[in-house]
Amino acid sequence: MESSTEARADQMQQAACFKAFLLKNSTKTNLNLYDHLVRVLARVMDERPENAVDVIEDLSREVKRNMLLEKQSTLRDAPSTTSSELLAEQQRALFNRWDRGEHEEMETPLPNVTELTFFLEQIGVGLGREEMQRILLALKQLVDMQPLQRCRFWGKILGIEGNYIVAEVEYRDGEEEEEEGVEEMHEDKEKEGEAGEEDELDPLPKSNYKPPTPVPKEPRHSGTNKFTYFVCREPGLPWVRLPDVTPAQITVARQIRKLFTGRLDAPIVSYPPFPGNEANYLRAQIARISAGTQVSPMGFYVFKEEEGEEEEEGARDSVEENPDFEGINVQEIAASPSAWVHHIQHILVQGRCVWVNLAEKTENLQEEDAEEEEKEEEPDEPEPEVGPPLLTPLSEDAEVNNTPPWSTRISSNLISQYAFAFVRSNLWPGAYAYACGKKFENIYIGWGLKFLGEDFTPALPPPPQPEYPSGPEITEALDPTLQEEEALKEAQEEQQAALEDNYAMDAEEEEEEEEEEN
Amino acid sequence: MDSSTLMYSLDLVCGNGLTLSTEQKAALHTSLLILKRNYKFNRVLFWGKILGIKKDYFIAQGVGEDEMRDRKCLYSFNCMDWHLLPLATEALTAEVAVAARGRFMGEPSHEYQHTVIRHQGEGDNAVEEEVMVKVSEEKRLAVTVFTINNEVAVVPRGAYIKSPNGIVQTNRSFEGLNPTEAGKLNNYLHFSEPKNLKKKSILELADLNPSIDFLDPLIDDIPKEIKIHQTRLCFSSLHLYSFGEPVPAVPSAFCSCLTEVEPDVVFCCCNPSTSRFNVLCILRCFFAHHNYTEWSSELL
Repeated sequence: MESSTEARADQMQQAACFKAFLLKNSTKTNLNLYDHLVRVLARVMDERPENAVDVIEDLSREVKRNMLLEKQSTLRDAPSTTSSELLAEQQRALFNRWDRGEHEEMETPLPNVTELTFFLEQIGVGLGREEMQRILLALKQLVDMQPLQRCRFWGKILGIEGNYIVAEVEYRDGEEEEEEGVEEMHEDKEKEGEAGEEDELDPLPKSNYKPPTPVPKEPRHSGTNKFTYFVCREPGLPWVRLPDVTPAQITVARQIRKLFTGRLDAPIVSYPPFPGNEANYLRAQIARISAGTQVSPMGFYVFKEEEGEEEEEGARDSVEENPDFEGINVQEIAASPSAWVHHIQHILVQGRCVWVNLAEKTENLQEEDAEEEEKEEEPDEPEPEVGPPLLTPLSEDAEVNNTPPWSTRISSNLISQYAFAFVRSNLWPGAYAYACGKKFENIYIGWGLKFLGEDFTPALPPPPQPEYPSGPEITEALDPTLQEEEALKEAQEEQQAALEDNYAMDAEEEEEEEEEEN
Repeated sequence: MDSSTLMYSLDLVCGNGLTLSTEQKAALHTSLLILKRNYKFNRVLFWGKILGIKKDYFIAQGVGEDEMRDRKCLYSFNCMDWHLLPLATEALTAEVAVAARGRFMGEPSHEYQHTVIRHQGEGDNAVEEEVMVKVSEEKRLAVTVFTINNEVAVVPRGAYIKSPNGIVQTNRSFEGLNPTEAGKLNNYLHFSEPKNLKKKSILELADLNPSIDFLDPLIDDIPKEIKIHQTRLCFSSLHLYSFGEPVPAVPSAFCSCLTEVEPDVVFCCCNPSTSRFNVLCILRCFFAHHNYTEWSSELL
């Protein structure tokens, strides 16, 4: 018995040893025979193929191949972040709720974009409800960050690579950061730099060209710089404040036609050269669009009444809301554009809203050194430019190429009881204004280009300047031929001979005279 | 876009500022169904709108058996009563290019007139003759719609297949382009009769799948000012703009930009603001979303 149990134990031991041998992993494939046989047999049991013994090699090979296939998929997922995911990360902040201790029940400058969306949808304009909601959230962010008194969703300017969402704001009095000091500093530095260059050893010939005096920029809170503008590319991205516009930028912006790229620092390559980059161009176009298309129903605004100075200043430049405004009948306002008025000042050819006399200014500057000259020739007093005054009806707007500048519509043709009126600008495609009861709003969604009505012709460069005045002394003449030279020589010799004769004659005469005197 | 999905697909393309009012949407929903039955179309697409000074045109397209060639255009003012547009022949296109200037008036019978001086004969016998070209706005509309379709209708590659007997049909198994593929221009094809395909060498043609690549890809377009830009609000998106600088001297063709909205949805819009047709902006969209494919366009 003992021997049999011992023998069995021995057998068991041997079996265990053999099993351990079978379980040994191959150094090449990291497989072991035991598991492989288990798999093959399990497969035979599952499939019960006919003549299993004949196909056992194939089965074995197939099982092995399947094992390998499983191992093939060890490639890791390449982490790819799409731009939309990045944008979503950035926009996440919009949806954070800022719980502040005090509940701000005070008046907020935040515009009611939801209402705007509703009205715009009725007139077939809009960016979609979701985008408008995001814009509202972005505007809230702006209002929270800046001390603003007034904020308005101005519109959206489309660009090739990105779009701009534009907010029109007004700072609370006295809380605005001043940037102008910095600019002046820059100018000073530039001047110093120029002075430094002059000290160099070999001075270059200096141009005596004097650029015409630039038209001075309009100060904050007046004219073209009445409002400050913030732009952002997408709601959730940081708001960027646009620099103030200069008259030169407006003048050039009127002569060029460029689409926006969507990058504020993109250079504007154009002729005539645009002073500044895309941020300046954007600001100039915003000023032009505002001046051309910001309209309100007649009677909503009235002129500010200032005591004392009535009639003195020809154009009054500020308006205020009319507290007695009752709203205009829809039929009346939809019938003709004369029921709408501009409430932003017209920009003059000079590039300013208020005309400034350049000649006067230069005179003052040069008074000391050029007083006499001035007396001699009094420069012609330039005619002051006058634009249409504020609150001019739209019916007075000029036509461009037989295109009426405005189209008036009504929001619904079927239910006129609840419809409201809106106007669409034909000169600035994308500019709309609606009026419903006592409310009105302006919006611009477009490419920032004015309608021309014909093909655009860019300004041609001026004719090249002559290097020197062309005259006979520098005109190249034909070389004289041999005959001509000889003829000239003969003539000269003859002259010489004649002269000599004369001299001889004179000398003789003189001698004779002397002799006579003696 | 397909009239049946107008309600929600319009939201995806209104980023350029134009949309439809609720009243118009409702009216279109009703009238396009009737239109489809009356004209026996397979499906009806809402093409877009063209803004006029007095009235706006709404354009719809009826599609028959062949998705590409068998299309008819109709216009309407009130989104209810539809009128068939005449066919745009080459002669008509030439006339319109000469005569039509300025904005659309919104009046089909409005006549554009233009006097052209034509030279006849040569040398001493040359006679200058003044010819008055007259084109009605309805014809101009037909030509404009046709030209826009011809030049900037864009579909993603694989959305349409050509059967062996030459009929173009929607590809039911098309699932849209994934974000990486959507960023490549050779995945977009002009949805009009191919013009450059036959000029390609055999080597280039070898890679093409004849049932899918029977159209011109966008990547061959001239000018090559195509920018790829990847953001649009609320959807992951991608704009491909091919409008270069507005070169004014050359009456540039309609330019296109594409937008991919979500990995599966693609649309394209175009901006021919400097074109000789003086149409200001066109928005054209293509949707390829899961199991359906459709496209839409809007013109402003």
